Amino acid sequence: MSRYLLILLCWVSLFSRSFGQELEIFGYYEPQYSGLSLDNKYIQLISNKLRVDLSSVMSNNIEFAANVDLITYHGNTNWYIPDFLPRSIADSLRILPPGFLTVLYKDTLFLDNVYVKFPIGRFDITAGKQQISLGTGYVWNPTDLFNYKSLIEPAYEQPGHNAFRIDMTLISRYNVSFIFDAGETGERSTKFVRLKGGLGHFDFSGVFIETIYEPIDYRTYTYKSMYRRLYGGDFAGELLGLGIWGEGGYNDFTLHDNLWEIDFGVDYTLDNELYVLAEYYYNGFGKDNSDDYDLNDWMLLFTGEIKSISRENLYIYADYPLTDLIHLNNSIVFSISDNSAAFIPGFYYSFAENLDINLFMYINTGKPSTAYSDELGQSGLIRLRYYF
Amino acid sequence: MKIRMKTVAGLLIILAFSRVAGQDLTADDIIARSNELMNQPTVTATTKMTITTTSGQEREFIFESYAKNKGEKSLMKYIAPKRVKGQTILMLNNADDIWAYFPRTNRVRKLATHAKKQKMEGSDFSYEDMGSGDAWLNEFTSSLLDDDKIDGSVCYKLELLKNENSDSGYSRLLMWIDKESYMPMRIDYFDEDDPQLHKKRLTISDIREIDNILTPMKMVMTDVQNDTDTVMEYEKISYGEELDDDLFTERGMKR
Repeated sequence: MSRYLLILLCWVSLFSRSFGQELEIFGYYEPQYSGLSLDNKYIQLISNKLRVDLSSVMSNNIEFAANVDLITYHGNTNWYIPDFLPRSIADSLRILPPGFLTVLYKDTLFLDNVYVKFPIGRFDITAGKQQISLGTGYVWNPTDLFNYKSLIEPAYEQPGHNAFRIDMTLISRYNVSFIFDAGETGERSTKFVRLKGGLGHFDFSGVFIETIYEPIDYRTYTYKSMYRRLYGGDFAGELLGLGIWGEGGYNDFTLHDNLWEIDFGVDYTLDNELYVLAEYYYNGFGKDNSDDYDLNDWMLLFTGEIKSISRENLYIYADYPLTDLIHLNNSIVFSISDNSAAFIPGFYYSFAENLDINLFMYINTGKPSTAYSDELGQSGLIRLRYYF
Repeated sequence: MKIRMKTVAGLLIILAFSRVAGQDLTADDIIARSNELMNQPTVTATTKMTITTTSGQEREFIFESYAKNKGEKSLMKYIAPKRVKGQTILMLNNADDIWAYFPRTNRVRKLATHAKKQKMEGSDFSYEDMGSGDAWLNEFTSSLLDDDKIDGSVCYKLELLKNENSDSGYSRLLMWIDKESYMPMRIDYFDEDDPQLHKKRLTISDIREIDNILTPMKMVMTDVQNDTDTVMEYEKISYGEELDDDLFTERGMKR
């Protein structure tokens, strides 16, 4: 670890000298405590995350940006996967060696983003490891094959991807984007094209993505490699005073049944400043009945390969500013397919100018074997974030 | 002597005409003149916003802003504190269309009109308050009340009632506009549902001439219900700079 820290310090120092006054260094420190109550067991994990961002805008609007994340873990850093699965699924796995089914939280230091962005006429070119955020959905994004959002905090930052991106402005509110997310070979790389436009109070876009899909069959520990082509789009606008958005995609696989993913959302701010949001998600990867959820479904959910285990899902969120500095919020994520729900109450306090405190609970209430079964445990998280 | 008589007569005629012209001004005319002053063709500014919360804590924000076509297009980019640095708000069509850019997630969100009611970073200013003043003409019906005085300045006092089709977060406004300069000196905002419930007061002060244009360097928005206030002060402001249309796009937000 100290070797990595040394590299980081050299790296920061090198760039500071190269760019002089123009280089900005900022970031945040984020200690976090999370606890999970499972049957008669209590697991706690403490993490410390230090994110250091470097940013510089040179002449001709050439922008360089990078960030390094250092994360240390303490407490229970070995998580045994069957503990987090419904009993009916977990029991069949316990015959396997424990090491095979353990997730290790190891201290890590990595270069999350590093890219250079420069304009050439109507084109903006971004090359390097960069965050790619796609789609209009708040919780679920059928057209975003790059990221997986947390139900606790869907707006949390996403990791960087090695990509080459070109954004071209056509006319006002119309642009086209090309993204090439580099894999081991050209064939195994993700190609993305989006045409985005705007009309009246609406923004809309059409998307095409080609990527390699390799779902693991966790029953046999084998995988199939196939092409996944996504034809989709999204919109965001306003209807009768309500904010509305939608996003969908048709997934065409070479060795898998083709399927749809569709998402619709609506939001509104009431006169008393209560903000409410609801989002519906139809997931062709999900299943209609909890009896059909198998090991593969759960593992694909945990690894972020699928965005929900149920076919039909509903998310409701409300946020109320108790004072200028304190917000109370609550999310309910509901599986329409198996009638189970989880409640995620939250509390936000802006303690000082650059210090925030977040508190979340995650309360599963569903029957055994459902998507939000109470046998999956109840958890809580407290997080501080200090920006510098 | 003849010349003198002519001059006096001329002055009297001008005075008489100007009095008639003054009397003929309708409420809409006064608001239009005030809009003309407040919405210059292009404005570039750096603003410090200080929020005093209910608990007495102070929070300071600094943002850069750019406005074009008399405020029809505007863009605000936070530069401090670190927590919100880079967050950008784009408002087009006189704030009928709003987008927010969050650099931490590299995501642009289109906000619906209802978001205009939301507080800007917990301040006493809503996004609607920051939008173009042409809403006063298009979304309200105005009438002229008796003249009033604010800090020694004689002001037109106007009442603006929300039109039925308006999506404004206020049912009624009371506005004091300086008779000489057409500068709005004070605005009282009333609850969306209850036109008698006084919610906020905007007070303008420290008026200076910048680039030959009268500019209110300090604006204080007071939430009279919660006893909080937010002070906005220009650190830098200039008029008439050439602003590229490209700035008021998604590309411009991310720059």
